[in-house]
Amino acid sequence: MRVQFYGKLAGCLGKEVVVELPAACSIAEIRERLATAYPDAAQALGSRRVRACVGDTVVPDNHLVQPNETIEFFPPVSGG
Amino acid sequence: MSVIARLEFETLNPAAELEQLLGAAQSDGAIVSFVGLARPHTSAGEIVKRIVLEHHPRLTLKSLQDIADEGAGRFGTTHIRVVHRCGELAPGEPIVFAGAAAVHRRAAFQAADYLMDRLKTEAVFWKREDGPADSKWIEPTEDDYADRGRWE
Repeated sequence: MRVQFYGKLAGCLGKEVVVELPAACSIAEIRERLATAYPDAAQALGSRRVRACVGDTVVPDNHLVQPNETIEFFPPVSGG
Repeated sequence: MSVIARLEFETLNPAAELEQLLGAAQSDGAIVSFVGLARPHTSAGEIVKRIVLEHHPRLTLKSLQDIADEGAGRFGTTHIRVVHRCGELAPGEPIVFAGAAAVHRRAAFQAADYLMDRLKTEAVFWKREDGPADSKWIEPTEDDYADRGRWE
């Protein structure tokens, strides 16, 4: 599974990591796996303001992601 | 009626955007426009050497279009124009142009205010201030979210 990051998350984790998953996994489980693997980003990954996006749609933490899908994590956005 | 939302990769020229809006609004009575500039200092007073606006390859423009469309449908405006920069900006460079035309001024003022409150909190950008020594990612403040909440 490809996991892509933006903003401050990309600043500390890079723009993309690949996570090996044997089966579908919830967004919450993926957050926990990533937080364990990257403790420096654990707080941000657990924040409710960091949204998960699959197929260009923001999804809730109980959304199941298939191993062949890509997840994007969005820190809070800010224009203007 | 027109609704224009554009992501600008190069220099944003507010005068040219206003000229376009003026041209479109010849039958109207009012135009209100806002131009946001890259600030030379952080909120803590530190020097900013450049601002980086990271964008999403698909969702950033969509967010601009959604905000412009919803602004157009809400206040009875005749024309809406939203242009937002991405990439690297030097202090003083325009970041955003938000303009609204209407038959009467109140609708134009409200629409421009609404557009900016939503752009500050919902436009899909990630903003970083680079200083001489370090960099800092900027997120909306509680005041920004409260301003956005005025329209709910």
